[in-house]
Amino acid sequence: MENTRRNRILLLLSVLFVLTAVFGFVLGSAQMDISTLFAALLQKEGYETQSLILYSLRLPRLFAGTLAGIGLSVSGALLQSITGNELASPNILGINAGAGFCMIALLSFFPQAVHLSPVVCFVGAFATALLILAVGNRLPRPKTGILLAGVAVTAVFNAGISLVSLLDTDVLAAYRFFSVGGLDGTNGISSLFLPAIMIFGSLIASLVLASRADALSLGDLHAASLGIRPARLRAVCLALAAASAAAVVSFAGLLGFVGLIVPHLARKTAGQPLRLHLPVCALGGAVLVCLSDLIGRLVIAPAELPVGILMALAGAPFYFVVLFRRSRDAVL
Amino acid sequence: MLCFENVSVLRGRKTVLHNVNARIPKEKLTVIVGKNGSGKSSLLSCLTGLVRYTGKILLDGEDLSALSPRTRAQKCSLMPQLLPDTALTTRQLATLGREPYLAPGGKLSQSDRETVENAIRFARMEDLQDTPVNRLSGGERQRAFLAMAAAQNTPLVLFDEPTAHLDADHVGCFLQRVRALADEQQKTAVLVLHDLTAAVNTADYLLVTDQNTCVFCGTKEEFLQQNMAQSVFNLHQTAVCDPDGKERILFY
Repeated sequence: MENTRRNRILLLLSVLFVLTAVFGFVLGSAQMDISTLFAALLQKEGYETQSLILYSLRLPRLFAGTLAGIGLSVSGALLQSITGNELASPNILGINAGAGFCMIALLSFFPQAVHLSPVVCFVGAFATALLILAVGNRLPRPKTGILLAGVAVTAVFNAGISLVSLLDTDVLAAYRFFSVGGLDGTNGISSLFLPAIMIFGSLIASLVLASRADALSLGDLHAASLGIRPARLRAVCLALAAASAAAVVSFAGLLGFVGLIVPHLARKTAGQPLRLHLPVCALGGAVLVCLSDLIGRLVIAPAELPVGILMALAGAPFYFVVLFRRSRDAVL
Repeated sequence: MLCFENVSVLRGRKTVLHNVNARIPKEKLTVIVGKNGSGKSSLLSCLTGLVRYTGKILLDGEDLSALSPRTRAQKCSLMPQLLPDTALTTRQLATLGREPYLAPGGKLSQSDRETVENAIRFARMEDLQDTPVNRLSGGERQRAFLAMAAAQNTPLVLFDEPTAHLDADHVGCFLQRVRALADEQQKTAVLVLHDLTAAVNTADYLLVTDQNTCVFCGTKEEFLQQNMAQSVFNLHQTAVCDPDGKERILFY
């Protein structure tokens, strides 16, 4: 049955995740072997340096990667479901552009308040989502309306970003790392608690609303026929998607493609209903981001390739594959 | 069963429906006919809670506007004219049909599961139940959504032009299934059809819309006696006997 298939995929992903985590701890500029790893985990005497590396660097990084993976892929899954469009993602919907604009404005006009950047990012992303919702939900065809509003809003905020960078040529250096997206800016595990609450909260709420969101994907008339208030549910799902993505932006910057690729693959393997592919999204996203981070740390060691660049390299061809497949199916 | 009392619908400045008064009887098959733009679809849409109307709609004696969406969904279901291109399978659609009876995040009970099985069987989709709907042909897709409506198992089932884009073979099959809903499952079925011949030969009751209001609501016999086809559509009617001896009405 479909549940068995999903569970098998989840098992496989769990194994991949553990392997990625172990390799992530063990490899890098400071190599460890397995016995050292266990000693460091248990914080045994004589392994203080390794413990420090593990607990202050690698573990937080793994946690950050997991959160980013879950947050972005759940956000993408929700957005693709409610818009009925498999190219929807937090980027396309302008959530990232809104956060980016607030971030670059902060860096340029209030550089002394740079410690507020997580809050600013979150507010920017969430406010953008609300703007898109307010405009898109009111249009006669909300499913397309939200996408169009997202495209429009992205354009506006990208223009804003360009304007700020033209007025202040120094800000680009600081903004650059944010705009690519990566896990190297994480400031310890405690800074990840609030995003974690948002991201796991969104995941749980999405699982509860999974079948309702599926009904919504059939269109407003069908959803209403099934006893759902379409506009209200759309607003809730969009808010969950926004909260999830915004939380990730606040510590990982504008990490693209995860919210596009992972839901797509999850749907193709586990099935169309959200209750089947959401868990796969969450775990798959975590694996993807953590694995990409690991590769990024190894490929040009001791320098690091941010996750965002790896995702762009993998993601851009992915768009073409999706479009190519769509055009091929359309011929039928 | 379903009463419209002075129902009007305005969309912007345009009057979509004006002072509709009609009674749709219980456990019968009623077909709504009318020219394009006469308000047929809007009449059905009023029952989804998405359309603002003035006047009263009574569903089994209860005011529709007083019902919560969930309760309403347990009493009445609508199959819209345009069916979405979804990757869900027929089985998954039928499972969604039980949504009005489940709590958020709730699981299907044994009786829910049985209802889903029966619905798939009713729609004759057992062989295709695990195929994504966007890979099905037009007629199969219609039956997939019929399975969903059957799983929702409401006393009142509405269909908005379900046969509009089906070939003659599938039209007959589908109408036969709707007939079965009314006869075998004692449901009240309401269909909007544009083909007058199919309408009159399938229906027990007819409702005619013309110029955004209801001009006729009565039995098939009354429809033929009053020659409504002539006054509304400018069509002549005649009766023919088919090889089984059953009388069929033709319009030309």
